[in-house]
Amino acid sequence: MATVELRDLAKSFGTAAAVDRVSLHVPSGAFVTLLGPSGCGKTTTLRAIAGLVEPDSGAILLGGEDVTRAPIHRRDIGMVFQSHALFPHMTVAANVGFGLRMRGIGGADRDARVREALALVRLEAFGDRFPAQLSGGQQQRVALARALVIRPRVLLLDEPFGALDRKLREAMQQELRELTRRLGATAIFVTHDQEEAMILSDSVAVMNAGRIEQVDDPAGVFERPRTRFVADFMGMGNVLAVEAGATGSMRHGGIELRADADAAAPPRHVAIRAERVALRPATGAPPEPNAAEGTLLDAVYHGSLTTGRVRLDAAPSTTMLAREASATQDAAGWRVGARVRLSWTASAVRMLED
Amino acid sequence: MTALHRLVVALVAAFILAPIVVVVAVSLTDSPIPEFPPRGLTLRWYAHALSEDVFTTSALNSLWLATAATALATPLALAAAYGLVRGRFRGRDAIQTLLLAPLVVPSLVIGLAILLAFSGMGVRDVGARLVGAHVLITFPYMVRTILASLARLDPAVEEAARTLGASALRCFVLVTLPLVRPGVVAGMLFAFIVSFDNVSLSLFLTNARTNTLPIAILNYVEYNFDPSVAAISTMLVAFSLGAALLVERLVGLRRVVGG
Repeated sequence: MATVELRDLAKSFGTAAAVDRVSLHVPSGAFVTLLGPSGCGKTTTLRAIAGLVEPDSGAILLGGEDVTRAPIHRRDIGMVFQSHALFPHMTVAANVGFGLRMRGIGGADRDARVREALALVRLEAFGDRFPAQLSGGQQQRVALARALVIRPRVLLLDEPFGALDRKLREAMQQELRELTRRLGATAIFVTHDQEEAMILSDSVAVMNAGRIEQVDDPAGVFERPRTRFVADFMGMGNVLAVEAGATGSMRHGGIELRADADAAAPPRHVAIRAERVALRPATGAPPEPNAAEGTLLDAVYHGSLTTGRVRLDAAPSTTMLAREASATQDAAGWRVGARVRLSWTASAVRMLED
Repeated sequence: MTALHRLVVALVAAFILAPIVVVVAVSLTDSPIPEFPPRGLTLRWYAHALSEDVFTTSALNSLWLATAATALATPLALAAAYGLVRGRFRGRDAIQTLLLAPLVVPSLVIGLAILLAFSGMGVRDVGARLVGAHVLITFPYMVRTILASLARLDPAVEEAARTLGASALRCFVLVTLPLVRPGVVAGMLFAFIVSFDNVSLSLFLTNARTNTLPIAILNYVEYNFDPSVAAISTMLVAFSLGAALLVERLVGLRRVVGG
């Protein structure tokens, strides 16, 4: 499979910039996810790679070849749509064989490759059925086989599991992950679901307002967001406005924060992941950096985790979140209205760009 | 269904079907003038109608005209409907409204306008005039039914075909066309019936030598008053009904009318 390179890709619809100078390098065999809220430009970027949207400027290279102005049907890409987009008037085998037929591959050769592709998605026995006779998950697997059978230079997936229920979605994610790893397929996946992005990807590009804000491995975007938007979108929980304090520290209201990294410029915001904030009974000890006392406003149980919301004494307009495993003694003992002490390590404090 | 509901449905059906029942009954009467209820039972008016040259030649004219108009309107309507659904351009809604205008404008007005236009353009041939006019009035019906089919077609299906290597033309032939076929077939049938039954346009465009069946019937009843008109009308009804049943068998009328 091929590398994919986007250079300063831009596309506007009317006056609204859907994609705003996006550059991205996808190595051969990598699984990259474009992650962002709806309207962030992720789908437009994907459709531009497919040729379904013509960019205003910039370049798209597949395996080093400039395909920016190449017609859709000459790009050798495999695309999977959210609506699966199977041909309802053709059998499963004819659907999968369509791309081969377009390439003039027929007869026994085509039949063998169709069988092989259907075996990949464990639907060998379904070749004679019509799409309407399959379940949602099966239809999406046919769509996947149809895209893979042509041995595309890149596999593009536009929220392919968005219409499936949670359990099926998780099974399909697992299957897609194994399949692309096994085939060494270069894949670009679009989703708004950060969990899905992290499960599947070698690398995640978080998009906002037509731009890529950060490209990193899943742990990178999750633990070390670079911007306020990424911190917020990745569910850090606590994004605090800060001012420069004494000797390299930062202040939020009356709370002193220290990070273990140096920022080039003093940041205006920091993020602290809620899971990395410890919530304990108040001690009344004197103020110290990276700790604050306050009142537990409520504790929201969401299964394996419980989230506490705390109003801070030293910054009364701020509520901070602390999240712990529901099964631990501490979370089980959280009492709403109690006086509590929050603390976190310097390594948990992420300084953000605006 | 409640009893009242059923009664209302029966009354409405009777109201709609009564004229047809009367015509069919009259066509079988054994008296020299149309009479209801029919007196006696005979098929001789059918024989009479089929032996009249004015009916048979004009019926052939009408068949030929409806076929030609449908054949010409089909590709035009397909192209128009496709452009309206998939295209993104200024004035699309206005064009859509304009294309359907012949459904709204009184057809006598259209007939007069076409007559004036053809005279101005120097189109003298009656056949050409009739085909041109009938393409115009059948076109909106076809656009409508094809639009309805296309609107239900997920654009991603066509996009999938394109990404898999189909050129725009192959995508249209292999994917789009088979999927909108019910709408196209229904549109063709409507177009055929609309053309075959048309009086108001043909009235302006036919002459003494070249006639369509509805005009021939109209002329015939001006000078004759025998049940052969009822016989020919019954055959017309049977013909239209047969066509509708054919579509029902082929594509399902429900899907076409928009159930």
